[in-house]
Amino acid sequence: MSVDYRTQIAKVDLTRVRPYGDTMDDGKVQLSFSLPVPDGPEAVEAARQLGAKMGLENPTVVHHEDIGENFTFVVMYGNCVHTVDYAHIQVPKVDSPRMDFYEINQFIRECIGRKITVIGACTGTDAHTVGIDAIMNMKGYNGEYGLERYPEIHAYNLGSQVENEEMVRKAIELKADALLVSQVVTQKDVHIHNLSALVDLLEAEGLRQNLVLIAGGPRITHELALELGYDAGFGPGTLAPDVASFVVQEMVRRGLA
Amino acid sequence: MDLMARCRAHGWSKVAFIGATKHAGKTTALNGLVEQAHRQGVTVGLCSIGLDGERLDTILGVEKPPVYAPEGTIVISAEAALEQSTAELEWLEVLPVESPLGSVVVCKVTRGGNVVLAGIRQRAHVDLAMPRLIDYGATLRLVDGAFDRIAAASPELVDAVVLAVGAVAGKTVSTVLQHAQPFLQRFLLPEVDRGIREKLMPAHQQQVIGWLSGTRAHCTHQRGALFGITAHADWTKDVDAVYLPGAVTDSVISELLGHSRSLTVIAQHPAQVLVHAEAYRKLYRAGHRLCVWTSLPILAVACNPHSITGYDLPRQPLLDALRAWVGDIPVYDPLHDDEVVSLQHPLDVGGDSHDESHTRAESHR
Repeated sequence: MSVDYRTQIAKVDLTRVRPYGDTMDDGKVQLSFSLPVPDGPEAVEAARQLGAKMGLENPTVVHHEDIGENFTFVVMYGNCVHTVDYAHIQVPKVDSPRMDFYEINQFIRECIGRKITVIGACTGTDAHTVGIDAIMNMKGYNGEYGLERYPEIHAYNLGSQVENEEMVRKAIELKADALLVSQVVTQKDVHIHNLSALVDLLEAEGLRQNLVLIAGGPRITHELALELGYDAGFGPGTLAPDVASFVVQEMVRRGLA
Repeated sequence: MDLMARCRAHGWSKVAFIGATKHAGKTTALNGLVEQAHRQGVTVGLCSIGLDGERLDTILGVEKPPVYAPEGTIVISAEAALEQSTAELEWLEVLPVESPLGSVVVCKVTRGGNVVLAGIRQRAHVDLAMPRLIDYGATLRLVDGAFDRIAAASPELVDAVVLAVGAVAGKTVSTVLQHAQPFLQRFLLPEVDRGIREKLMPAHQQQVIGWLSGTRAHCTHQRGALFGITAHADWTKDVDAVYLPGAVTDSVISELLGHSRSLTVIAQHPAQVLVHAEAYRKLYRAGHRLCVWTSLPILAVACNPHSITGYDLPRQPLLDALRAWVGDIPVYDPLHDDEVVSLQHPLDVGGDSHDESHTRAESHR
C-alpha cells in the first residue's frame, strides 16, 4: 500500500508557534553572548545555568572562546518551551500603497501641484548616517534612487548629530513638508527621548500639524512611532519609495498639499 | 486618594496624564481615576495623545496595564486600534482626523473592557476631540500621554494634569528625583505678575514675542525664539521682561543669560517650557526668573516605586520627597493609595541649594 508522504509531514499550528530547528515544534534556538569571565569550564557552566534561567530546556554550549581581557564568547543551543499565537497577532504597519520613483513624482505633480520639501537627519548624539543616507542621497540604495534624485522633491540631508532645535530651525527656514528623523543609537533608550523631545518642540512652536513626521531606524517600529506622536515609523530594509509614498499620500490625506 | 473630590472642588473636568518617563505609571493612575469616576456615576471620556492600552510595551516587549473602560465610557480612537479592544463599542461618529491606523472615531462602551487608544497624535487633534466627548455626555474627560511627552499639558486643552513619576527613571530615590525635577518644575512656575501681564497683553493676544523696557512694551512679528531674540533691532539692555509664546528651550535661555538686567522670562504655559535642570540653574544664578502666562494646576502626582525592569525603590522616602517638593498637591502611589503619605524631610536631589530655595520661592509666589 502506497502512503502519500505529504500527509506525514508535520503541519505548523499557527496558534502555537515555536522555533523550528530540525523538526517541527522542537523549539530549537541558538543564541550567542559574551560573559565577563575567563574562558574555561566555569564559564561554560555559567553560560549553561544562564540558559536554564532564561527558560531554555537542554541548554548546551556548542562553542566558546577567549576573546581577551578575561571575556568569553559563547554560542549555545537550547529548546524553547514557549509558544505564541501567530494567528492572532496584529502589528500596526504603514499601509499606504507603495509607488515607484515615476509614480511618486507624477503623484506630486498631479495631486500636490508643487515641489515638496523633505528634511532628513540623524538627531541628538547619533552619528550613524547609513540609514538616512540610503533614503536621502541621490545614489540611493539597493537599486532605488534616494530622495535627492526625485525631481519633484527638494531633499535636504542635514547629516548626523543634528540637535532638535537645529532641525526645527531648518524646517522653518526651508518651509519643510516632511521631517525624517533617523535614530540608530538606542543605548539607554536615548532614541526615545530624542524623538519625543522633537515632537514636543514642534508642538510648542506650533508647527506639528503642518508637517508629516517620520521616524526611522533599526529599532523603530510603526507602533513605536505612533506612540511617540509621529505619523509613521520605518524599520530596517526601508527604501526611499516606501518613505516618499507615505509622505505624499499623507500630505494629501491631511490636506497639506 | 479621592481625586474626584479635588476635581469637583476646583471645577476641573479635563485632565491630562503626563509621565516623567515611559512606565512611570500614567495608565495605572488613569485607570484609578476612571474607576473612581465610574463608582460615582460620572461618565468618562477617554483619548490618548500617542498610542496607549496596547498589550505589550513597544520597547521592552513586557506586558503593560491595559486601559479599562467601564460601560458608558466615551472613547476616541482609531479603527485599527479599536479592533484590538475587548470592550464592546457602539459607533457614534467619525472625526475629521486622518490617522495611519484608520479613521478616528467616537464610540460608546456598551460593555466594559479594555480599549486601545490611538489616532490622536497632536494638540490640534485633542482640541478637536474634547468638545465631542462632552457632546456625548462625558463630563470628565481624560487624555493619556505617551512616554515623556508633555504636549497635552496645555491649559488650552485641559484644566489640570496628573504627573506620573516612576522608579524606572533611576535605581536610587535621588536619581529619580533628579530626573523628575525639571519635569515637575515647569508646572510649579508662578504666573506672571499682573503689572507685566497688562503691559504685554498685546503680544500675548497676537501670539508674538514681546518685551517690556520700563513701562514701554514692544511687540515683534515673530512667534518662535529659535532664531534669536537679543539680535532684534529693538532689543535693548533695558529690557525687564520678555514674553515667549513659542518653545522656551535651553538655547533660548542660554541666549538670555548675558542680559545685563534682571529679566523676567515668560513662557506661554508649562508645556512650552522645554528646559533641562542645568539651564534652570544657570538662569536663576544669573539673577533672572522664569514664569508662565497661564499655569496648569496639578491634580496629583502619581508615584510608582516599582520599575518594570525589575526593582523597587523605598516607597515612603520617594513619596515624602516628592510631597516636600510640590507642597499641598496630593502625592500618591496609585497601587497603594490607601496608605498615609507623610511629610518627613525636604527634597534633596544634590543640586545647588541656592537654586533650590530660589525655585521654591518662585513656586510659592
